[in-house]
Amino acid sequence: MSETPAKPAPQANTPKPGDRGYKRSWKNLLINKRYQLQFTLFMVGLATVLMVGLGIRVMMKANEATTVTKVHWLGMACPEIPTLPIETTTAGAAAAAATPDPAAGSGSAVIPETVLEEVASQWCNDDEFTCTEKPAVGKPLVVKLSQVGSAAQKPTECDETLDYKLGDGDALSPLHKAGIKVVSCDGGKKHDVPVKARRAKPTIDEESIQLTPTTVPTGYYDPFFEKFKTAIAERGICEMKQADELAAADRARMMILLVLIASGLVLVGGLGVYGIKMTHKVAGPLFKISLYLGKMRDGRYDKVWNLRKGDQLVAFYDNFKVGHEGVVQMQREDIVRVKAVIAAAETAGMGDHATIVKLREMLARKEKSIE
Amino acid sequence: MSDEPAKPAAPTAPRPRYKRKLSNYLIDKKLQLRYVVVVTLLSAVIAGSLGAMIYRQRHRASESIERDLMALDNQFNDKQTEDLKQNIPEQMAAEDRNDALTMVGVGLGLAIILSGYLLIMTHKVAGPLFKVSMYFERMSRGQLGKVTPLRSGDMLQDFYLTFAEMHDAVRARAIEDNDALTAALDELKASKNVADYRGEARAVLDEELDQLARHVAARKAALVDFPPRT
Repeated sequence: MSETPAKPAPQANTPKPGDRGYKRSWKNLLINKRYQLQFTLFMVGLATVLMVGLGIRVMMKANEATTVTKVHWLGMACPEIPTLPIETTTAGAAAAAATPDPAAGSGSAVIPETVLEEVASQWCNDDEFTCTEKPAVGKPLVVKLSQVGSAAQKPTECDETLDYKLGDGDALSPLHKAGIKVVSCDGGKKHDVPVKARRAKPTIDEESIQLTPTTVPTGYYDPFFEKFKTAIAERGICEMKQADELAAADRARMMILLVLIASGLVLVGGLGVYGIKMTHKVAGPLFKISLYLGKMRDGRYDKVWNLRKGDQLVAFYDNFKVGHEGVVQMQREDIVRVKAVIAAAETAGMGDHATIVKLREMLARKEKSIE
Repeated sequence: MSDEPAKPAAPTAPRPRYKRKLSNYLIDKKLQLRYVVVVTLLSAVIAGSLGAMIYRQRHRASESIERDLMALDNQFNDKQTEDLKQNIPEQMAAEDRNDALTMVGVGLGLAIILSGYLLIMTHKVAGPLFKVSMYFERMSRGQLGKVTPLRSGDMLQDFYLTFAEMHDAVRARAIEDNDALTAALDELKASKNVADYRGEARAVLDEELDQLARHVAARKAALVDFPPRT
């Protein structure tokens, strides 16, 4: 059955008024429901099964990939924020020392060695005090008066001298820096390191004396704070990147899901429409032939018109036209024979014979059937 | 084309039961292959694209694990890590390959099964059309034997029923007309002796009646059941 266009039947050259300008309309697409729906639903069902089955597998793999990606990013440790050894105040205010944890490891801020040297310079190697042991970060400092053998060696004097010195901003500053919160005289009582110096620092010039409140030199903290700030920034960036990557992984997974659902819906919808249209091109000619078959059943052998452009089953339709023409030819042969007998009978004077009358009726019926 | 045997003509042997052959499944190549190719290609596209997505996701996960494994190697660099570094990527690559091969295999299997199934399914449409085409071809020769029903699994049963009704009606009318012509022939032959025939007219009528008799006989022969298929 080839798809070559049908040759027009001899009686089909004149266009039928009803056929001219005929347009397919959507409501007429479903001619042969059983056939069309069976084929279309098979395609749609198959596509749905494939999309759902493979889609579930895609999502399983996507979930795996998402989990792996998340684990990868969560497994990347962000830099720790160092523990502050010293509690700082606002600019100009003194700082309260916080005891650094020696076991904190890389998480703690590293106090420069120069700070301890400064402590030693102020408290261990000056005219007033010496240290019983080397100053250490965050550990109480034990001092004793330098002038050995004098009356100043009395513990009370040491405490008094120590108390006086703790009122001096220059002496307090290195203690703050080193996180030393307690200073005590050897054998004497413990003195808390004050947050703020009690005495102002006098500035003497040629004409006046100006008392400037001693402050903790905040400039000293810059290197540490730079590191601190950098560490916070790095951790923040790291955490943001982690969060971003985790969100991106979730977004990618969601995107796959949405693409699958959207493409599945488009595919199924498109297939449904395509299936109906495709099968309509088969069902259409069958419907048309069915109409002609109905006429033939009722004894009317009308003209057979061509199929519309794009219809399938063109070869089958040609076969139908040939069969139709065969039946019409049978009627024509009958007509020729009956006409000849009627004419011969009339010539012989039997025109009014009852049989001839019947033959005339048959002839009229047959002639009408092929009009 | 039918599984049901036709009613045997009186002198002939029973018609052999027709068997479907694999080679006969492709009756209307264009109609059948069009549908088969469309559905198979569509399935291949769906399976291929989703399969590619599955492979991509799996490969992405494998690559990520491999990268993490390399980072682990850099940190510890011991023998166990070295083994992991060597074995796990190979194992994952092998699993990726197996997955891809499985998907290709399933896709090919699906295409083959689907094509076979669709061939059979479209055959159930093309078969009735083929059968009706044969009847049309016989009608074109003036043969109007009885039509046999379709096989039970065939599609287009409604269409075939319409065709069979038409064929039966045309055949019944042809038989009726033939019987009427036969009766008319007999009556005219009986009546010609009493008519006032002149010589020439009588000869013409005799000739026409002879031709009509031959015509009726030929028509009668064309209205018997179709000969058995050889």
